[in-house]
Amino acid sequence: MTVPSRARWQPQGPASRCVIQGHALGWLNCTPTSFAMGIDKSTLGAKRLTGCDVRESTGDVAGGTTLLQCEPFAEKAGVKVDVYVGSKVVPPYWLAVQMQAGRGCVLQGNTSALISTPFRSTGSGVNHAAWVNDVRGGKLGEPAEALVYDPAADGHQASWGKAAQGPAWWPWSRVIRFAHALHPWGDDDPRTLSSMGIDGVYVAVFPDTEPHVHLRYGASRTSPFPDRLRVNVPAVYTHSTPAYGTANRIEPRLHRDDLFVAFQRVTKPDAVWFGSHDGTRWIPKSKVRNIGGTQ
Amino acid sequence: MTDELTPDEEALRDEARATADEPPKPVDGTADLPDEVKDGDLSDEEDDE
Repeated sequence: MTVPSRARWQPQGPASRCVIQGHALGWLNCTPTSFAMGIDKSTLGAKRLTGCDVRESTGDVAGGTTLLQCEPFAEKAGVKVDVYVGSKVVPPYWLAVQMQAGRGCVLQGNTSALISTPFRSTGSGVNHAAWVNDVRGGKLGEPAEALVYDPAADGHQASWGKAAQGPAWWPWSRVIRFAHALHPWGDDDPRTLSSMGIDGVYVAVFPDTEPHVHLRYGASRTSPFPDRLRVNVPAVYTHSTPAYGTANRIEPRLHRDDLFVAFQRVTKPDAVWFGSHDGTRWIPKSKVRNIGGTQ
Repeated sequence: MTDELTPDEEALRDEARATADEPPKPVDGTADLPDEVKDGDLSDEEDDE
């Protein structure tokens, strides 16, 4: 069974959480904080950075930040991010399919869409960004709910009430209302995507890093899934199909103690074979030793 | 917080992955939209703490 990888939630506030060159930027740091959570999820927790780390990389200490400013930091962390802004904003249906395929996203929107909901985190409507980790239920292109990590949802007590706390399952329709409420020309300009009739969203889409398998040649999932193996012979070819033969050898060879992450296995007359996630690379069981586990 | 996917959700995953490589369709009315939209200032929340 697949278990979606989940980020560790991070708050953006208080202001003192991120001080750079004397500027207290915590409450101006929703996009970098959301990116940090995205990197966390996308590296399966291997890179747990802070929103302030991301912010510092932008070199910008004036006001908020943009998706394009934060994207290079993710790339340096080894996480390829696709940014869709301006004339390249994407339809909600397409974003939903990406999320249902195991990706996550940093979504820009405006908190005016949250004021009368349990997800409220601000006193008034303001342009904002949140990490959307995964979705559940519904049908293709229209999930029922999304797990949203709002970096301002730290449970603080305010004159208007108590802010939401931590990750929460939002109805997908609310996610899109939040995105459509964005003021593209800033909070002081009354125009929103919704008021202009634009059915697109500003978003940075992160990779599908969930362990998954495309089963081939009658194989079944490994257990554990995936399974980490190491070569236990001086050198060995991997093969493009689970069968010996010079025609399907893959260069270069693997050498002793090289890692092979197996997602599927199949028993053939000549050997038991372990396969890669997409079934394009196979190695015989007799050439590896099991080091066990998924990490 | 972990939740295993149900068999129905696994099937939806497979269905989504089969079409996820398709590029997004262009959205009408976006020609003049700015690329750079900064997030706003939430400092008012600090005053209430």
